[in-house]
Amino acid sequence: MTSAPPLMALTGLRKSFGKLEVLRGIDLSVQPGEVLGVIGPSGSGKSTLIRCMNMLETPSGGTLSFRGQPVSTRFRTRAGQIGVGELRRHVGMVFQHFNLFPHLTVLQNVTRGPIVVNKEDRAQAEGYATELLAQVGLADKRDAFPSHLSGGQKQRVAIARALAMRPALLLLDEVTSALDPELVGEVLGVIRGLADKGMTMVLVTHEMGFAADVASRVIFMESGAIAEEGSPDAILRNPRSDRLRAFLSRFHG
Amino acid sequence: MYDWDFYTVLLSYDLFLWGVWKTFQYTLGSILIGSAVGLLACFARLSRHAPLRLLARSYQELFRCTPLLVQILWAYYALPMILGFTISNSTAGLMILSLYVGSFYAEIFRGGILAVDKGQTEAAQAVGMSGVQVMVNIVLPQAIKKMLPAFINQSVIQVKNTSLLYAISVAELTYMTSMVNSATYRPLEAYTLTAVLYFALLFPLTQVADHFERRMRRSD
Ligand SMILES: Nc1ncnc2c1ncn2[C@@H]1O[C@H](COP(=O)(O)OP(=O)(O)O)[C@@H](O)[C@H]1O
Ligand SMILES: [Mg+2]
Repeated sequence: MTSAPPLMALTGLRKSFGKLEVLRGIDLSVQPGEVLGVIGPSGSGKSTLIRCMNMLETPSGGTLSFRGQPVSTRFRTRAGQIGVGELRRHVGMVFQHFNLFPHLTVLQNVTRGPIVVNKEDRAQAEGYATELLAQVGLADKRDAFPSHLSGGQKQRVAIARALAMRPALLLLDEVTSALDPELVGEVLGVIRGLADKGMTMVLVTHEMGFAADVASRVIFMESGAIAEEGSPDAILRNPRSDRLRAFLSRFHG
Repeated sequence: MYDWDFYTVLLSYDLFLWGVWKTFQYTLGSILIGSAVGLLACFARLSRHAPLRLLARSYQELFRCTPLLVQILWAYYALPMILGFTISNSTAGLMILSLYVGSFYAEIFRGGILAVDKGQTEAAQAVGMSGVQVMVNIVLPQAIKKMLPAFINQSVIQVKNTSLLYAISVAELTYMTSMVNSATYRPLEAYTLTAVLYFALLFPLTQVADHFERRMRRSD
């Protein structure tokens, strides 16, 4: 591991829903520039983990810190504690089911955050949004409404929407799981491009080949804990535990 | 054969026009005040504070589970005995009509807001929007579209409900018709004309509501 200060650090992070303990003390840090792959069986807590990283879920215990400062449960930043609002301005998220705003055009989907949250002026926000839409291959769709897009196009807009906030960290939760197989490639292509540019990402995925390709580090989650952690090569090609081997074998023809 | 005589009744056209104007005023006034009250009650119902939720809920049930006519009579004849001073019939009428429709609007607004997918709120929060920003930019625009047909339908009912102000002598259309009737002894013509006037007022509105409902079903 590098000795650079982590961008984000989780220590002893816990999350319960009622009596159900979903995260049982997670210790994890994300270094600037790395792509952290998160794999594991359904229900192991991957989504809950990544949703704690932008406080869409409030942890029940442990601490979350960003750039060395603890994150509070309040929206506003004060007294050395980063507020949820500020955290989310720096940490973007892309969802499995896109969650585009159906009443806004593609361009408005991308610019609404920068305009409302960062108080960017419209022209500036639209300029950058146009650039981002070109980067994800959707320059010609800027005035379309989401209902007129394919799943792959929707997800690429959702990525542009997250990037428009110029995030330091991008969280992606199974972003290709809701897509028809023939549309998966175009979205993975965009993510690969981001990885090549050095974007820091946490990537929950069932695409093992892709994870092996772009991740700099992979964690295997099981029952709310990190069961194995290492380089993609170590985790995906030379798994140590039987459970990881059994899990991986389901993804090989 | 009954000898129809609309002419005699129509001589009092100014009374009918006055009645229509007042009915329009009480409808619009109570819809505006009722919307504000309904919005407040709706947010109170959605709030995290239990006492606030209970308060809003009590208000709603009180007005939804008693007849509007009883509420009007109570506000005009009974409430002054508690307050120790009288209130005019127009004030009592407008107040009750507003509170009554507000209790239904609150439920319509709440339904519209809850019908917006949770993923919309999360996506808006994820770019850093505050609660109010999420509401204004993302949830309300979608909720308004969903609740528009029900809102218009409730407002149509509200036009008809103003006729109950007749009971406390507010000079709206039904009351004015009764004035024309007692001056002309022509109840058939007078009340038929009034029915036609209400219909002409409301039929376009129900068509608008249907239009929105159809369009919404198509866009889903
Ligand atoms: N909001 C919630 N309320 C109750 N239980 C939840 C909630 N979210 C997730 N869970 C439960 O937490 C466990 C982990 O879920 P999740 O983090 O979505 O796992 P994964 O993403 O790895 O499939 C599951 O048992 C799930 O049912
Ligand atoms: Mg999940």
